Amino acid sequence: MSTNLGVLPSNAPLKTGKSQRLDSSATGSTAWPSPENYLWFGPGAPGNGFPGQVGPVLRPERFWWIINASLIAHCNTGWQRYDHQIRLVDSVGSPILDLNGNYYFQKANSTEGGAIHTNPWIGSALQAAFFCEANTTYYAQLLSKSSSPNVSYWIGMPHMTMYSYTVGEGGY
Amino acid sequence: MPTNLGALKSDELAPTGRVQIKRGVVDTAQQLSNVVPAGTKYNDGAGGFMQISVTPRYDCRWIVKANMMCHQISNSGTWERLDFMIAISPNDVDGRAVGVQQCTQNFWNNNGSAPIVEWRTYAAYTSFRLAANTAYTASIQHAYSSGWLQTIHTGHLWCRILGRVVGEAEVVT
Repeated sequence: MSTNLGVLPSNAPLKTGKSQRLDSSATGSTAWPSPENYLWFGPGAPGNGFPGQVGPVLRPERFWWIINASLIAHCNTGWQRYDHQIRLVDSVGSPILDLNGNYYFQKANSTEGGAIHTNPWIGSALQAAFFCEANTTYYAQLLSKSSSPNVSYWIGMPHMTMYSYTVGEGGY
Repeated sequence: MPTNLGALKSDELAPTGRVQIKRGVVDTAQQLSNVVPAGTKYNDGAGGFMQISVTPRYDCRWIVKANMMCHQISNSGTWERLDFMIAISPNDVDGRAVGVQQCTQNFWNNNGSAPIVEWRTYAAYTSFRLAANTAYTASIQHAYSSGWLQTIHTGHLWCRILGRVVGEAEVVT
């Protein structure tokens, strides 16, 4: 479903993408949440602040939506796995498939704490790309996908951030 | 500030996004530690810096991604932390000087006759909000070391910074 240049309205901007950014606010070390729960961006304790979510995005043509999330985490003792996911959801928070049948991108991480670590924080960068339908409202959530005792993540800048942008509007 | 399609100049390229990339040049090493000042730019192994620049014609967002590879070389049997960051100069429209700071962990296993070099790769992603007709430079910079010595690789396969302009002449939120 492509859109020719000649039929684009002259009284509106060219479709060159929309972008937004979500920065975390200073809260500090926070326990890794149980699966299906938000990674919170603060302020305050999880549940009292604002969650890891970008959107809404709604475009008049089909488009690609690129979402990135960065965070750092550490483990107090031993090796521990921790997973997180960028999930495409609708306006009520339910998972919604993109035009390729996908709704999430997930990343597995592992970290170790203990005496041989001087400072065990380690970073993770996750990127998702969804092919989205025209005239449909989307959000993207950053969620935990693991039970990870002894793991904490850091709410605060410049470590924890999300951003998104659209590309390819009308080009398909 | 959005610019309608009908108001764009007909004798210039349509603003559909520009890409900038800088790769490492020579396979060599840059040593970092806790005595190297934060803000020291990563080099490309050939006298240049790992940085890109852009002067947008419209207000826009600048998506910047960095890749690097590192290892530790001095404290055997331990993990040491090394942070790098994507910085911008001048500050972006939101007052941001650092887009993101990424933590790495580096292990050194020096067993004497055959030390194991524990290379690891890392990525960092960020975005900046840019003003039209302003020259910006984004660079990979050293941010923190927990101590001892760490090394980054300056080769083109491992070290790079990539920028992409989005949202030119569109509403930037």
